[in-house]
Amino acid sequence: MLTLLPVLIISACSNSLSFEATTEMPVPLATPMPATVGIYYPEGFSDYVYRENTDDRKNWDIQTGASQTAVFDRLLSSMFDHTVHIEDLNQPDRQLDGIFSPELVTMQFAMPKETSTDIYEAWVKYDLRLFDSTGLLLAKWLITGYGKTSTEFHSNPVDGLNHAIGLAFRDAGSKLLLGFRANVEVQTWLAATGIACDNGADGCRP
Amino acid sequence: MVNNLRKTDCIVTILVALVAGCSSTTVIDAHVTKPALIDSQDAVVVLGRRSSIEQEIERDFIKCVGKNLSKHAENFYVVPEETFVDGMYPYFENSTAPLDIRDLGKLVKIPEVIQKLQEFKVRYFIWIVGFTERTDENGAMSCAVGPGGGGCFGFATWSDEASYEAHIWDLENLQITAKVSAETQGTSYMPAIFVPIPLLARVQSSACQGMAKQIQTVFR
Repeated sequence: MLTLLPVLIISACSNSLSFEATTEMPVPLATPMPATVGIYYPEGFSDYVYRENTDDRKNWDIQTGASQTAVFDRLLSSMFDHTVHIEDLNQPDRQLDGIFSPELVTMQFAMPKETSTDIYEAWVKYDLRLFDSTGLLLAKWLITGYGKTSTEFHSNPVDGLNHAIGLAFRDAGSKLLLGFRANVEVQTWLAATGIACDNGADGCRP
Repeated sequence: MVNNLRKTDCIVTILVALVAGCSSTTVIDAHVTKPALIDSQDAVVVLGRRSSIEQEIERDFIKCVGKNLSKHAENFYVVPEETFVDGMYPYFENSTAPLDIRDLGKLVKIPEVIQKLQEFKVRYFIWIVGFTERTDENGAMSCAVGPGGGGCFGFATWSDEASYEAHIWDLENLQITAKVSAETQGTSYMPAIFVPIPLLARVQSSACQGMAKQIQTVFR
C-alpha cells in the first residue's frame, strides 16, 4: 500500500480547513502491457492546492498535488511495462510508445451540514490525453471519480474529507483501468504500435 | 421509614422496567436455495453493497458479521472486506463491483480476476445491503454546572431500526445460494437524576449477531 503521511493543520476558526490529502491506493490487478510510456504532468498538477475562501468555507487549503501524482504514477505503471516521467512535452522522446498527460478539470466537495446529510463527498474530474512520441495528440477523454463517507466513521471534517478524496481518486483510477481500452482512439494506438492486438497479427508484441 | 422504603422500591421498580424495556427485538428471515457446501480449504468474503447515494452500509456492521462468522466457523476462513477489495482493485469498487450473478460470471472470465480469487480461495460471496437509522426521539434533558457542583435532570428516549439483507453467491456454480434478512427494532432510554444513566438497546449489534448466526446455518 502506498501511504503518504498526513500533515493536518486545523486552524482555530471553525470553518477553515487546511490539510494535505493522503491516498491509500492499492496495487491494481492488471497485467502490464508491453510498452514504454511517458507520463507528463502539466504545471500545477504535482503541487495542486484546492483553495476556497467564502463565508461558508473560510481559508480552505487542501493540498492534493502529491496524492494525485502518486495515484497516476501507480495506475500507469501497473498498465505498462515501463514508465518514465517527461519534463517537457515539446521535447518528446522517440523511444517512447506514447505519452500520457492527466489534467485536473475540477475538484468539488460537499460537507454534511451543506447537504443536510451525514456524509462527506468529493468529486474529481480529469482530462486525460495521449500523445504519440512526437507530441502529436492521439486521444483525449474525461475520467470522473466520486467518493463519499459517513460522519459516523470520522471524528473530524479533515479526516472525513480526506477519506472522501481518497475514495474519489480510487474511483477515478478504476475508471481509467477498466475504461481505457473502450476508447476508440486508444484502441487504434494499441493496434498501430503492436502493444495490444489480435494474436498472430503482424507486428503484434509478445 | 415505611415511606422511604416505598420510594426506594418505586425507583428500583422503574429502573428494572426501563432496563427490561430497552431490549431490542430481531426478526430473521432466510430463504435457502441450496445448502452451501464448503470445506476447510475454502473462504468466504463478506462485502457491503454501497451503491446507494443516501445511505451507506456501516463498515462496522460488515466487520461484525465477518467476525461473528469467523468465531463460529470451524470449516472455513472469512476474508476481511478491506483486504479483499484492495486485492481485487479495481473490480470490486462501489462503481465497478458485480451487481448480480451474471456480472460475476463475466468477471471470472478475466484471467487476473480468477487467479486472484483462487489465491484468496473464495468460494462464497456474502453481499449485505441495509442500514440502521433513528426513527424516533422524545424527551428532554438539561445539565447545569454551578459553584456547588453540577448535574443533569430529565428523561430522553429514542428508537432505532436496523434493516439488512444478505445475498450469498456461490462462485463455483455461479448461483444464489441463500438470502437472509434481519430486521431489528429497539428503544433506548436515558433518565437523569444528577447523573445520566444510558439504558441502550443494541439494535445494530443484535441485527449483526442474528444475521451471522443464520448465515452460519447455510454453510455445511
